[in-house]
Amino acid sequence: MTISPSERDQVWDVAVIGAGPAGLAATVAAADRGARVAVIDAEPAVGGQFWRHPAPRHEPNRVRDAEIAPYHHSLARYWRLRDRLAQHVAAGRAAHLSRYEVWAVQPAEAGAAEPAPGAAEPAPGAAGSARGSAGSEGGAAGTTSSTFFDVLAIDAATPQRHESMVRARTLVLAPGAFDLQIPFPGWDLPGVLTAGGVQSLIKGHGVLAGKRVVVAGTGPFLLSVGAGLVRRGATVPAIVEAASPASWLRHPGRLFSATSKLAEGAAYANTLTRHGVSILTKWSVLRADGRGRVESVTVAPIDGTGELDPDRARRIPVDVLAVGWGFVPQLELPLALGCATRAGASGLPVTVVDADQRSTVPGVYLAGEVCGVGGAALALVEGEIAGLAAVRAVGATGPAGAARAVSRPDEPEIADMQGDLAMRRRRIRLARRRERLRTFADALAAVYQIPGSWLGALTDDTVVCRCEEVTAGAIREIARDHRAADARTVKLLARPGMGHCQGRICGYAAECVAAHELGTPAAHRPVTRPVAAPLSLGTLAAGWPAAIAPVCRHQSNV
Amino acid sequence: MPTFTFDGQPIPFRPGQSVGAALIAAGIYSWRVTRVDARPRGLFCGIGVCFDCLVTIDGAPNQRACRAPAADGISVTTQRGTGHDDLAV
Ligand SMILES: Cc1cc2nc3c(=O)[nH]c(=O)nc-3n(C[C@H](O)[C@H](O)[C@H](O)COP(=O)(O)OP(=O)(O)OC[C@H]3O[C@@H](n4cnc5c(N)ncnc54)[C@H](O)[C@@H]3O)c2cc1C
Ligand code: FES
Repeated sequence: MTISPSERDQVWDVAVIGAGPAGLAATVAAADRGARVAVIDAEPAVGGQFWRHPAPRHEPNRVRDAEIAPYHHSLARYWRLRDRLAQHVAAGRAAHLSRYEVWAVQPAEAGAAEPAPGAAEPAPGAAGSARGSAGSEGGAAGTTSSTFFDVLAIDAATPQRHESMVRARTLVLAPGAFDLQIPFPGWDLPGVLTAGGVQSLIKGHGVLAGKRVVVAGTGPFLLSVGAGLVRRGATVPAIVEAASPASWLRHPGRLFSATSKLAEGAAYANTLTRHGVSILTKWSVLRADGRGRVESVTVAPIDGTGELDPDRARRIPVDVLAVGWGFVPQLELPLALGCATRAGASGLPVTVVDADQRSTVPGVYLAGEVCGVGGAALALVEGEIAGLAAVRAVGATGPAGAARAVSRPDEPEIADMQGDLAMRRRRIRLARRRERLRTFADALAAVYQIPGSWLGALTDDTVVCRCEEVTAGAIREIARDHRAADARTVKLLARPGMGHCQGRICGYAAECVAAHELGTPAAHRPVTRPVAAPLSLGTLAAGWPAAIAPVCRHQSNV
Repeated sequence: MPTFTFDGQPIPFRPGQSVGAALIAAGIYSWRVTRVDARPRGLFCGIGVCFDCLVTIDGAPNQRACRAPAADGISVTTQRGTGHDDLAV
């Protein structure tokens, strides 16, 4: 369904970026209460990382939802949210802009609901505004904010990568996270994949990454990946966990505060035991070797001094090595809008939010991993809170008409009061649940810390920045010569983080290497990046904003 | 089964899969050679973040194999160095 020209110029009540658990929950919560919502996501199917699904197709031998279902959790909730979104799309209340990569978001100050032509500020590096006015039809009544946000997105489904714009009164940013990685000799060999990447191949494409896979790093996610692999038929010679779960015993209270998460963990542990997978704790990767692709991984125990003990190392033949050290929140979009950050439980920056998931920028709500890595259950709660708060901000309060008609058709005021009461109860429940899950997530982060042992094992000739092929030796030299451990100086001089990924993959490690060389702690300050998605020069040259209607491509695989 | 070619070799795939996923299912793990040290590279993050999986599709370089949908009849070729370097980031 293409959005009609009149709809194209509308101002949405809420634009949600990211259709993972957080964004999906926010979208449905807001649309359920009568707001008009556009949800924008780079992937073909909704679900994000946790509920990754194959691209919707109709050919007979497509990858089917049913065949990937065994690798998922809480699917009933996913189906409910997906169906609800489909209903809202069909009713014209919501649009699902799939395969759109948001590269910029910015406030567009406008005095009234009708912004003047060219009133918006041009995007950084782009030519002047060429866009006409935006009407306000279809919006909820009682708008309190005079600020609009323009979301600029690249249509990844067209070879020309057309640009589209969505204008909204409020934003919910829920872009999630990516796998945190640390370098070791051989980590850039083909066949060394991120743990999340191995998981995404199974869930999103029905593909087993390898036949013999070692899973290494730290965090409970490794168990989930290992369990998925053995269920799908792979041999997992070992799961190599750098932390020591015995430290759980120091947090028993926190441990029992999130029982459903524990049940999920117990299920993985069961699967792994049944398949005889050994879990090495306080062990880590020393190196990976192979000619042209990974053929073996050497793992070693972390000794009393916190270093890897090469004398007790074991070499394990593999065809794939899956590594993950936790997750890095994707902060580009919140940072571009000026949202404040703080140091999260893992030491990496996360955004600051209040009880309503409000950022420090009016009209901008944040949910999911960007507020601190906490997993899907927490993302769902935060998303719903953000969706409800965004609705209140634009004034589209109260139960949706349909719900009202069902409960008290002849007494709408009473129905509204009942609705308000129900909403208040719901918000109290959500707040409690968030508190519990956040405490649990912080306890996990405290246990699954990245040990410093990798720094000692990192040889000078190991590539740290995979894009620009900058080695650990080069970073150490710059740090020594210029006594610089901050990301900016190291980046300017040694050029790690100057390539395609803009330092997303190596940023954390490069800072650690430089700081370690100087004997100082790594700071991990938030890094602003000019663009959140790759653009072609053509798009930039075409000026901003292009007046191409976004296409609602909501589809599912049923 | 629909098929695309990789450096001339036919690669079968299932609709809904990405080029990168289909290559891995076919046992191919690298499809790019780096600019500086000519190192082989393939899928790493799997979700469009790392840009290690860049590949040339129907003559256009710098396509992320983990995101590009596999399609019948397309020609996928190993990308050497920067391809044509027409990707601005
Ligand atoms: C590769 C990977 C695999 C994972 N697998 C699991 C798993 O199997 N089990 C588990 O418990 N946890 C998994 N996780 C952890 C995951 O972070 C959480 O479980 C959960 O998915 C977080 O929900 P979220 O809504 O915050 O973000 P996400 O689920 O990450 O959703 C964010 C969505 O936003 C989209 N997005 C981001 N930026 C943009 C942009 N600029 N433009 C358009 N769209 C954008 C993304 O495409 C994504 O669909 C995984 C993480 C990663 C990185
Ligand atoms: S594998 Fe990282 S971008 Fe494709």
